[in-house]
Amino acid sequence: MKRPLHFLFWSRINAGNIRESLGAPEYSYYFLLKEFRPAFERLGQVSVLDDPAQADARHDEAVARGEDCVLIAFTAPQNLPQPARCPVIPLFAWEFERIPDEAWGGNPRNDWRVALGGVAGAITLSEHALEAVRRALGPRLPLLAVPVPLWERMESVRGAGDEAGHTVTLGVDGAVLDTRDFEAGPERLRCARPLAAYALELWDGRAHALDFRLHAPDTGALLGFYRPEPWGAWSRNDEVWIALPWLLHGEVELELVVRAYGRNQGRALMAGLGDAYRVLRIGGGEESHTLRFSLDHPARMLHIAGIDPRPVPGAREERSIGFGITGLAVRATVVPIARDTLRLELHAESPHSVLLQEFWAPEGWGAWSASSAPWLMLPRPVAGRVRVQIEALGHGRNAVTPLGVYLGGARHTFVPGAGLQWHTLEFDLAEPAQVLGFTGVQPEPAGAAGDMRMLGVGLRSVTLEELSEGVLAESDDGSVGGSGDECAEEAALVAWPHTTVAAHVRQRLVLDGTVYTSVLNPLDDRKNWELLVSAFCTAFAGREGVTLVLKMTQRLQRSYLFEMHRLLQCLPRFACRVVVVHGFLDEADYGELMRRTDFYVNVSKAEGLCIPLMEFMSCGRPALAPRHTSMLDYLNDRNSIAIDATTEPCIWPHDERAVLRTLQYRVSWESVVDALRHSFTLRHENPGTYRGMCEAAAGTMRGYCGIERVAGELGRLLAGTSRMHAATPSIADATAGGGTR
Amino acid sequence: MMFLVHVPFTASSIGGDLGRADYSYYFVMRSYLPVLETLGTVREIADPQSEADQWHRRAVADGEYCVLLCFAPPHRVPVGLACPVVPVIAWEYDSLPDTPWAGRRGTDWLRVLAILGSTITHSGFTARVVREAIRPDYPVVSVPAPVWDRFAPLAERRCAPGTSGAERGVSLAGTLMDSRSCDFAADAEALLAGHPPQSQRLVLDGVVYTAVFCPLDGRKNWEDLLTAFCWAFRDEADCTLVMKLVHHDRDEAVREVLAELRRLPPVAARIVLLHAYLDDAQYENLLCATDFAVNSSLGEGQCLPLMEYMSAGVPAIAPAHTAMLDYLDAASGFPVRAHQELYHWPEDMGLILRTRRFRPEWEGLRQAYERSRALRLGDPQAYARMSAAAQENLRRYCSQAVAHDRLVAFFSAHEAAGAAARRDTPPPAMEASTCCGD
Repeated sequence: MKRPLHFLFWSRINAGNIRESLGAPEYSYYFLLKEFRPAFERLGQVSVLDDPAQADARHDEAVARGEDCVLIAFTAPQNLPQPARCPVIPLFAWEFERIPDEAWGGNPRNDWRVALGGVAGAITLSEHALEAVRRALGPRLPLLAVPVPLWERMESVRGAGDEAGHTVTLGVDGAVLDTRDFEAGPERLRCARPLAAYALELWDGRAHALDFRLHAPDTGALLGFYRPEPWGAWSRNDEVWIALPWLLHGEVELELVVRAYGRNQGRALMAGLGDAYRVLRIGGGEESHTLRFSLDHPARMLHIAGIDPRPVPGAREERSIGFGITGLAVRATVVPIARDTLRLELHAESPHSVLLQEFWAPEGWGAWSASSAPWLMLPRPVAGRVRVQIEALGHGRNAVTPLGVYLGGARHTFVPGAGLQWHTLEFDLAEPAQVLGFTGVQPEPAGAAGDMRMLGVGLRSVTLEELSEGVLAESDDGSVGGSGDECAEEAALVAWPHTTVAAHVRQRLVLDGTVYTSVLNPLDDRKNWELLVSAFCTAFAGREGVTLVLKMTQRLQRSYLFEMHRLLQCLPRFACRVVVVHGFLDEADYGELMRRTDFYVNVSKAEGLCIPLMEFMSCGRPALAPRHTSMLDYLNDRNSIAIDATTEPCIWPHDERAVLRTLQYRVSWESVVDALRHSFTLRHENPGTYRGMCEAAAGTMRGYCGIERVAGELGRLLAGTSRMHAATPSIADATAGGGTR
Repeated sequence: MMFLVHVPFTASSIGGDLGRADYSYYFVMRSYLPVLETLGTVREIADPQSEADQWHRRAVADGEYCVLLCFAPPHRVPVGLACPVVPVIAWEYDSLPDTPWAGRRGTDWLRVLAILGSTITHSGFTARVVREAIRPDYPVVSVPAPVWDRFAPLAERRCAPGTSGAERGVSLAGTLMDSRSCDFAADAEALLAGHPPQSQRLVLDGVVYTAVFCPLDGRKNWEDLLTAFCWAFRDEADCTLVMKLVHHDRDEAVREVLAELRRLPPVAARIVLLHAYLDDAQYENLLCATDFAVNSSLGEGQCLPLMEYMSAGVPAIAPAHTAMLDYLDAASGFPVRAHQELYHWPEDMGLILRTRRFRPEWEGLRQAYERSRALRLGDPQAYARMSAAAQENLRRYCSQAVAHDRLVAFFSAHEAAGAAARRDTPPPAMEASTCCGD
């Protein structure tokens, strides 16, 4: 009789601590745990451990119930728990041909031969990794290479058909940096839609600072600067911007630590925030300048203009430097204490109309939206329970269709109606919000003679009233707060969380033409995203109607923005389009992106397992990718176009000594350009072949990462791990047949 | 014919500038002199702006052809002299700078070379780049520095029987760090202090690979030739890599290489770091002790070290791009496949990615090391054939005879074009009042 199997699952990151762990090295292990659970549940019962110290106790209980119990540890081997009795099988990802086989840092378990010494078996995500383990540990340890079983979960995307050739509009909660919104060249870098391109946070009214010295992440906020140096960064153009992360509002003080070069010393530069400009005159050394602004509407771009970039004749410095910045600090000069209801009039005469985004120019009665995701900034953040009253109407279909309306992270729907009417909605905000927006608007032609506009929803006015108890109320004597002794500074906004608060602007992304997509973490050097962008912009320099969508899976946009700006200024002019998506796509939108993509592109130097590549291929999207590491398990000439890559030495990523011990792959830039051009030709001139590639991509994935196959392989491994329970060989008996390696 | 030659750097400034990219221009000018002297009189001039036109006027009065050869990049070449000027340029990128930068019109090389009317360079690759930039029939000729004649005689010395695997010695005054006696992972400052420059002898054995480069020159990509050597010969104690560092600041150069050496895994093969000024005899000894010359750069205008070594019959491991396409093939060495990547011109302070450079395959370098060792140890006749082929390829590339023939053709055509232009151009009204002679 077969003994039931009981799996204890453990990873260092779990549901409890995942929020703080975004981007941490073990972050993806948590997702691996969730992805593999259904496969293991076909073989036995799964329970998730919070603490590996519980393993032995849980194991003993299971054995007492007549079960076989094993700990599946989703973690790198050097972090494996070492229970006394419970067998352990690690499941881990590895990109390289050699596993760590040295100890360093005084930790013998850095040598994986030691760390894997007591395990009952090991599961890697690729044959490449399995071979690396095999070479180091010999033939006796039961090993299995198996991918994440994601085939079935992609069914909803597959089932919805494909969007080939159609224009689709996606919603992104975050930022969409579109090269079409930039004027870029050797001497110029200007973003026409900074509220769309740069991730936006709310300002809590407190003091904050940005650091622009070498290696500081804030350097990404710089537009039009040379690469930062140890002291800070020099401008390269005659005007520069700094994309402040916060939506500043009210009375603001900016302290800048700056310097000037050459003719710019003593020169009257202009520093602007929103519509307000101040003169900035910098002398001969590093100086601190404080600028005060009264913002009549929120702003986030600091603009420095009037720089003279010409080099000084005869000087050794040949770059076009002029204005240098080390850092800046922002402070509120007056802490807002009034919690009055916000009443916003959105017609042409009202100053509030500047708050509108993606609307046509306001008219006497109000303003029509221009896009499918119009929104407005509030003059200041609101928090807690908020009653919102919207005076609106809908154009065409929009009059009778439910529209989405969001305030920060909270959402509702409403039907505007054909004539102006009031709608009242209450939002419960988990964190403050400063953006009120609409989704699902369907722009339609205005219909009037001579009016070429596309209209959706029209707004006349909006009022917002904070209803929370926590809001401080003004008492009769004009003082604020429950006790008259409270000073103004304590009347700061309530319920402000410790972490930054995203503005949650819902950006729209319209995709048409030929679409290439890649999903990656830009901070992982192995992903090679800059090579992809430069190769794409070279391959299609002369071609409009082709788009690269780069979905960045990294919390901090500023961490890679500097390189993006540098590429925009340094790449020769290109007609194609690159869109960098930094934010959240819900399942429906992500599925739309997959269906609309013509090719998925990967240019990595090494892959432990490329889940996005597998997801797209599972939806019938062929790939452009190098044939190395884990991708060798499923890429072939029928389902993908190969990119040349050959080996080069590299370090073990977690080895602090940073010594060269193993190999990754050097991807040929030239080959990426050729592959892109070849794929475009194939897509448009060989539709039959392309269709064949789509089918082959899906077909390969069906056979490779379907749950039945994965569960079957796991079962065979478990059968071969006779160390699991020496006293009961029944597992080996019951599932004998498929040998392990 | 009268040849005025000018290079913006002089012997007196060279000593301190050893290793700077511009040093090459001076060296190339010196190597041209014997050939030019067979074609006419040669005068080195220090200041073209003030001297060139005087000499030119004198020559014209005597009915003699006179030209100024400027060994310098185009933005340092005088434009607007009465004396015809031919720039002699080295260039390793696949496009010419064609925009003025920061108001300096000289950085528009396309314009400068078009105005000057003709150009001499050092490789077929560069000649093609110039023609593609300006026009297909633009007069440009490849005349590499004619170093073959000086080094070819060394081939016989190298082929003396019994040299394979035998000990070979090089006396030198300088700094030597040898993996057999020195731990590269030790503190860099301690290593520098413990290996002061001194008179000593480097004794080489086994299969010897030599690379000559400036470690601060990013174009040399020397890390690849070092790491590929280590991976190829992790378990082979009979191989040696000699890295001769060319840079005026010993400490700076050695630190740069030590930083990479400390990242390497332990290897059985021998690595020698050499920083020394070698006189001619010492340089020849090192060359004769070498079995293969190695280069892994991202582009070369001609690559003088490879030219010298191959002229003496030392086969090379080097990337198959730029100048090497003219003289390195599978018969004469181990060409390594290279791939294009975007880059910017060195003078472009805007760092605009308007050109390409060429990255060799690291894996190709590793395989070249493995195959070259096997050849050297296992097939002496094949090695001898390769050696002879290297020498012959370089004769065709950079012998004085070839340089002479190409320069004769070039200057004859240049002279004829100049005479035709003068016939077709009405003399300016001012000419009658211009002084002739001194």
